[in-house]
Amino acid sequence: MSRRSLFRFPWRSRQQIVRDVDDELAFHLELSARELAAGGLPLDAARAEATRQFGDLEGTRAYCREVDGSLEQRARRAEWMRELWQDVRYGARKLWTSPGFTTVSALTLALGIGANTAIFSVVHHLLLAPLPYPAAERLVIPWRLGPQGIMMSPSRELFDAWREQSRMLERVEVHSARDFTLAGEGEPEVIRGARITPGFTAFLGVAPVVGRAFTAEDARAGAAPVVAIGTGLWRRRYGGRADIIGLTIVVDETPRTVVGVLPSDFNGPVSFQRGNEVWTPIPMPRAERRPRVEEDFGSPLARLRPGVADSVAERELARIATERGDVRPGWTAKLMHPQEMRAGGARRSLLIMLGAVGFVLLIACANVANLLLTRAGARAKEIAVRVALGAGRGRLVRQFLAESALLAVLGGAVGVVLAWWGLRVIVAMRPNTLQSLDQVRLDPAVLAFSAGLSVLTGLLFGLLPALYASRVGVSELIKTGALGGAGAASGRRFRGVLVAAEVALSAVVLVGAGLLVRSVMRLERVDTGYDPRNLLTVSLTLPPSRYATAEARSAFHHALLAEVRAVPGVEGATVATGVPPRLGLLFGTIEVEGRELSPDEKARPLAYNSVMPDYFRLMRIRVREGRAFTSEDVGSKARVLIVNDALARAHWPNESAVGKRMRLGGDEYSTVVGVVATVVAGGPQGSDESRHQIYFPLDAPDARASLVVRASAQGAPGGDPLALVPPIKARVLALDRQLPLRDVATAQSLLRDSISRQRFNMALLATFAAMALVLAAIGLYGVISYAVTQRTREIGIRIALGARPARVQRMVVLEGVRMTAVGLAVGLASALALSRLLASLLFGITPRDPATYAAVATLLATVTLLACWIPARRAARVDPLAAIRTE
Amino acid sequence: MVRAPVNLLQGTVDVLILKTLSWQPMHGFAVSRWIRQRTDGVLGLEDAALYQALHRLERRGWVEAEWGLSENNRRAKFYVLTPAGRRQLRAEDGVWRRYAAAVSKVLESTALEPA
Repeated sequence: MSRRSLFRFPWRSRQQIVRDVDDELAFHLELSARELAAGGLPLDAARAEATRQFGDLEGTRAYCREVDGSLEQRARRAEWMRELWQDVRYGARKLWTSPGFTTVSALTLALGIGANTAIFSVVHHLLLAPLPYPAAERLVIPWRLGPQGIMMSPSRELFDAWREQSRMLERVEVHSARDFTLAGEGEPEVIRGARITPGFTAFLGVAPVVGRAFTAEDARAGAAPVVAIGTGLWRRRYGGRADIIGLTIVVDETPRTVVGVLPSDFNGPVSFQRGNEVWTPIPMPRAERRPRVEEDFGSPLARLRPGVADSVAERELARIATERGDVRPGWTAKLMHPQEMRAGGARRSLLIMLGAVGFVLLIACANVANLLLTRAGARAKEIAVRVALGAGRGRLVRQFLAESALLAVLGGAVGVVLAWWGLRVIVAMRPNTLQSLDQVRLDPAVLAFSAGLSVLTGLLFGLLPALYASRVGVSELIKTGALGGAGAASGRRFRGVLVAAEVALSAVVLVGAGLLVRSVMRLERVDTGYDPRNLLTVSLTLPPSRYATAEARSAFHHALLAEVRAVPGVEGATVATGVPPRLGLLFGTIEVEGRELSPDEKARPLAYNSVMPDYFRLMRIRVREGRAFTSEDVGSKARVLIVNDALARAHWPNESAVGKRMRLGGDEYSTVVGVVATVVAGGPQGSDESRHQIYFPLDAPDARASLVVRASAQGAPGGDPLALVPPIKARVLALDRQLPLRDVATAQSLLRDSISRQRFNMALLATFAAMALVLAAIGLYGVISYAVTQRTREIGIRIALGARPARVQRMVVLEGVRMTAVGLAVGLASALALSRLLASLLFGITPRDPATYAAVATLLATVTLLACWIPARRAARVDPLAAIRTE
Repeated sequence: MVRAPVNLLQGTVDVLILKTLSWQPMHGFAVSRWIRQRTDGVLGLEDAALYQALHRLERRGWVEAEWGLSENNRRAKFYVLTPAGRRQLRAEDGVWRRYAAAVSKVLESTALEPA
């Protein structure tokens, strides 16, 4: 060990180094000259001779200065590292010897850092990380853009024109999501998939796991039908068999040869929410030409040429479309960015969550800062000794920071574990609008974020206590043995500010959570217009190849209903094209006999449903006027329809709608035979375009329809309508072995799904609010407890002098109330200002909903009173004799 | 370990200094005189080279410097061999002996060995 590490020498300045070298050389020359002079030379000549004998004096001088300078620097660096290591080891020892403090602080930080890590990984996945495709930032989805922001995917002809003529787009491919029915071996099932252009996989840099991707030959008209499947389907349905390539499977009634297995997580950036597992090539060019009828072709995906601005490409695409006569006047083109579409509409709520967890982390920091302050007070003697032994303020601050950095790293490590766990919870309860969340990982970028956050956190909560603890004078410390006097007073003030800030922050998060909770409560209490209890829906798609005519489809439905109604536990069953909240929309010109409608009224979309006569009774939709359909209405020449009350009120105000006539899209007039209650459709609270509803008798059932079954309230085995699925499935397969059941759901789960995003946001924010509240309460409790401990002697004297315990108790509680009242006021005011950001996530209440604010104020006041009351009670029980004797 | 002539010279200075300091801590002038006396001035070690070597050795951690008082009470910089320096000296010592032995062998061979 070098001497430097045993004794700390003051560092030499640059001038000092220069002087040392000069002194050393001068000393040498002096002795050398003296030696020569002793030999008989005159002094002057001796000096000259000594210099000559020395050699390159100036060169040596410069060389030595340089060497010494670098030596000094290296020594300083080494010393700094050594001291840091010392600080870290010392800090670790201190943390080890106070496990209570360390555990509480590390867990507090872990909560904060964990919540931030979890939310950041979601934000990173949905907003920040580039899509996993080559040149993902240049991927665009070009669509047609009409007036009022209407967007339409391009027709096949327009797609061809864009692909051939555009100079701004490098490449254009198509992805058309669709559901395939898989039959052949095993039970028939419906699998999500897509039709794609042959180049689509290569375009996105996706390589088949087994076999090959599609080629241009596969898409040629008349080519042998082929299919590619996902790895998941391969394993699940085909047991991962090695001879999958070349196997023939029946997809939508067509036998197709499997040519490749694609990675299952390959969804294409156009359909993030789907787990596609079956792909077929889009025939190019299309088989038969039917001009004037636009084919549902799918969505193109293109890559911009490098450096091309969206607006430039949009102008070019609009020009091509207009030249082709493909779009009506006023239509242009619009590029969408898959990267931005990934988060769906969740961008705002994600950022709000990030803000909320940021607040939680700040509260956690404040708590730990408070604990550190308290500890610094308790460690006054140790600090005094260190100062007396010559530790400078910088060294003390560094010592404390090393300790808090260690604490932060510890908290960060536990936090990452919490985040991993929290992320699994988040993924499990993800809303159906954010299905791609199942691919969120704690990847290196996220871990780097947590590491950075931990260090920052350590500085944040460690710096102030470190500065505070290192500020006190030695003499004062040694005299009082405590960080007393002015130090203690300012420490108490600082603690008060911290607690007030904690209360304010948690008030903001609580208000946010409260607003979301009230919104969801409103959403759940929306009058659905029908009775969703014990209701089961199953969607059936009758393939045209086997059910070509309306009669065939109708016959199947009636046979099925007869079977299903006989299943034990079934109260009733019917068939309809739609099941709320999912109803189809009709766009067409509305005409009402005897009334001139405004253009807006004429163009208003209608939610429609084609239903069997018993639909209203089964759904328990109230018939307000007139009647429901009868069996005579089905297939009758007299065209009839039923409207909802909103439509009736809009078109026949102040008179009965029954018996009036209206028509759609220039069709024949139909007579309104009944007016029914509005059902919620199109969204959690009913969308505007679904507000007007219209019902037709189901006389020519579509290929696709839903079976709706009501389980008898007492009869459903286990009270769960889903228990009826196996017997119903057996009945369906008995009628048609190739027919898959799809979209099996209860009406209640459909309703829950329709507000899944709102519930998700609520659950997250409520969790963070609970964390904020608990942390703030712990913080306040800690501060008041500490204050009581510090003032035990004073309180003892007060009691000895006759203060009643109740009075002492009130005094302590009041101190806490003073701290929190300010925080609460500031917090509620900030919440008022910030809650505007939440407006788009709310339903049925304003961001200034008084009930929410009142509830939050009450809750916080109650919790803070409780947090103060416990230490206050202890204060009131102080034994004056014991208290005075202890010091 | 074979060194080029220039390095050999620098290495020579280093090993001489380390050896000198292995007796006792000395200031630069004393090191210079000690070496001169022991070699009868044959090596002609220049003081400039000596001081540069001393500072270099200090930077390498083989010697440490301390300010003290000389025999006639003047402020002088004394050099002390560190444990690392002592280890280095031992290593260099071996190399030098083998080197010298090898050179001697060559110089002492008077005739070509019989084939």
